[in-house]
Amino acid sequence: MPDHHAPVALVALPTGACGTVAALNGGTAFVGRLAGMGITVGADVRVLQNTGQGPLLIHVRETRLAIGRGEALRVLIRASGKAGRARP
Amino acid sequence: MPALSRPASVAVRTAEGQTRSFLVGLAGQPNVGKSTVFNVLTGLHQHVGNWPGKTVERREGSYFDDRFIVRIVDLPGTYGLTPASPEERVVRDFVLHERPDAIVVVVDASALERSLYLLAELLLLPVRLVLAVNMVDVAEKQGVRIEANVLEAALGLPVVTLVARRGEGIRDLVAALGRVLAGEDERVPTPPSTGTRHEQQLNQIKSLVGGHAPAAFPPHWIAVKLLEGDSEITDLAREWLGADAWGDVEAVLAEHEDAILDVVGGRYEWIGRMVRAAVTRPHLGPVSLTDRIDRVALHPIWGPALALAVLGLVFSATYLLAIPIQQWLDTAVISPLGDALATALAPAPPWLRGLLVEGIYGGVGAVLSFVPVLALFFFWLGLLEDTGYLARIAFVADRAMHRLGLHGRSILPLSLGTGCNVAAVMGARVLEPRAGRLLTILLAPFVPCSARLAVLAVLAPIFFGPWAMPVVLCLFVTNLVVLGLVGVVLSRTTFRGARGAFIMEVPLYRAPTRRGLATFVSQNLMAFLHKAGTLIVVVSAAVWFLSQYPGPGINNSFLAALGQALAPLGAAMGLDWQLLTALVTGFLAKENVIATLGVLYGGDGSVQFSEAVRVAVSAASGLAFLVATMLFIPCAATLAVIRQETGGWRWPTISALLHLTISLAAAVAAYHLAVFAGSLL
Repeated sequence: MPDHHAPVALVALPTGACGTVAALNGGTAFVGRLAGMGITVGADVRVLQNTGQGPLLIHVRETRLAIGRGEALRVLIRASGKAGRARP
Repeated sequence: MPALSRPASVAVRTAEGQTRSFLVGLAGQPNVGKSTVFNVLTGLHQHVGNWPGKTVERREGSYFDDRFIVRIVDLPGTYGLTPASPEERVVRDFVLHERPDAIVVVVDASALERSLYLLAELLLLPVRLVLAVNMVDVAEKQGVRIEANVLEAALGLPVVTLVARRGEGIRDLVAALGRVLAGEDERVPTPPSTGTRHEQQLNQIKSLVGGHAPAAFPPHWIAVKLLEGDSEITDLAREWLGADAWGDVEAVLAEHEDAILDVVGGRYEWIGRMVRAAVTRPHLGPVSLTDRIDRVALHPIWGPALALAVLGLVFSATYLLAIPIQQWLDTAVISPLGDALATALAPAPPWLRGLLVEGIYGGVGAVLSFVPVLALFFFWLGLLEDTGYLARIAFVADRAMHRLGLHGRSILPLSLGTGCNVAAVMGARVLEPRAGRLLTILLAPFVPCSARLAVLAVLAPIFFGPWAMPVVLCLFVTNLVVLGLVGVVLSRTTFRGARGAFIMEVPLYRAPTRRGLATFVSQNLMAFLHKAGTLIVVVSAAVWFLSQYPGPGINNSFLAALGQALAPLGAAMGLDWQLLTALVTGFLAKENVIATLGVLYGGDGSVQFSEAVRVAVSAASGLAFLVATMLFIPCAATLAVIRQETGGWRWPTISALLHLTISLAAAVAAYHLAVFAGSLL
């Protein structure tokens, strides 16, 4: 049985998925930059749009952010229960 | 609109000894309406300069009330205070070294927690703060309610709510700021803790650093920044402490490399505690207008289609309007004034008349002719930025721009560069980080501008007869291909990381303010006239001199001599000295190429001109000439704005050399290919 609580990369989450930031894979510059925009470990994230190509549109701390796929690969998300239900 | 006084009578008031002067910074994250607050506070009393040693603009203004003169510096919008860009460094240096009497931190009511992050950073620095919660109307529409007095009690500093675009709350802000400046507000705010897990390390570093750092830098703040891995502070601390003491600090830091997670997490925890009692928000907000628009604007198919349509519209609206205005300006103002000047100078010696009328006044006319295009361009750019749609264009264009190593936002300056490269270079102002801006500036002149397209339109039919249209199309595409290649190469070599991490706020849509737009257009135009304009006039006078002396006429000028001296180089491209000289005069303005050829080949009437050129220039040489013209050194005005935008001669020189090399190489290749193809036929 797959572990629903193992963190996955943000880039892999489909449109509509929700979760919490579990880890950030990057140096202090990356973490610092993301922090100012609201992405920190523990922040709730909702994927507003992920078309599989081009940047993702996400919702974090009452803000809409566009994030590149390369960057979204380095943001690990623990999917929340809500997202589990939302998935087909 | 609040009727704040402007410091028109500053001198009188200070002479009375009743008013005191203060320095206040206005800080805030991007998109929180900080500039609107600045504009309402200072009115037209603004001054735009540059931060010392930086290309970041410094906007200053002032107001006074019955007690004080307040000088306000509009700090660049930054998300935090860890320098990833010159903007953050500017804000930090301002607080540390200019010692402002207070800082007003503007935050967005509908994204309160995120925008308070900057406040959490500023609280560690030795400066009094006032919090201005802006756009409460937007938040209320989303069902978010903020109780300013509760937030004020929690933070321990003055909090006012604003709707800056309507001027609401500005009086309260001025009053609260006044109390802080007068020393009547003695509350001491509680700074955020650093996350409990690293409290011990923090204290350890603090005691190791204490006594070594200059007085301007608080030890606690240095310790936090070291834990955050701030490279600038790390370098400074290494210098202050010397090798031995630094070794101890480094040992602590090396063991706690993940401390930054704790530090930034601690800030948001603190913010959460501060806003908990003050903010009520609905569990599920209504589907906002922004959501509904974005379903189309960010759609994978409709989004790019809409962006293309908008860019097309903006392009046509800029140039369809600008060209008649430009022509009107030329016939109604510039030419008559030039004639009047020539008549007035009739008694003067011919060389002086020539220099003043054709050289200097010609340059002034050239500068003025850019004004309609730039005014309209900045109007549209400001409109797209203020409404929030620019972020959507950037979003949908990012995939394509990514390949060139650029940010999605670069699409706007680059696409509008087809009209005028000067506009494209200045439009790069909206780009972050600096490396990405530089790369866009270097690439912009490869976009064929309308002046070069006009040269093509005249010469291609002469050189290629019925084949003109396909050749023009090929030349246009060649430029774009070269742009793409240069972008790909530079972004993978010199400009690695120019794109920065692609994380961009996609703000809520909102109506632009008339005052904000007017300020944006006029300040950008003034920057062009003031900085680039002067240089264009000087270059214009110099080129005029070179083209007229020793004379008589351009045939016997220094420029012609240069063309003749370069003949061996020209031979490789199949260009005679006349074509070379024309290429060089295109430096002043690309449309000069035609006029120069007219003079050098003789014959002013268009039939005579085409005949003369057709006889003198083979199709292969013509092709090489057009290839060279399309890729040649950017015009003087473009180089002048590159210098203005990059703050020195380094980048205009690099740009000129890059274009020179590529254009000559491409022309040689084109000539030999054409000759080879001709031999096969």
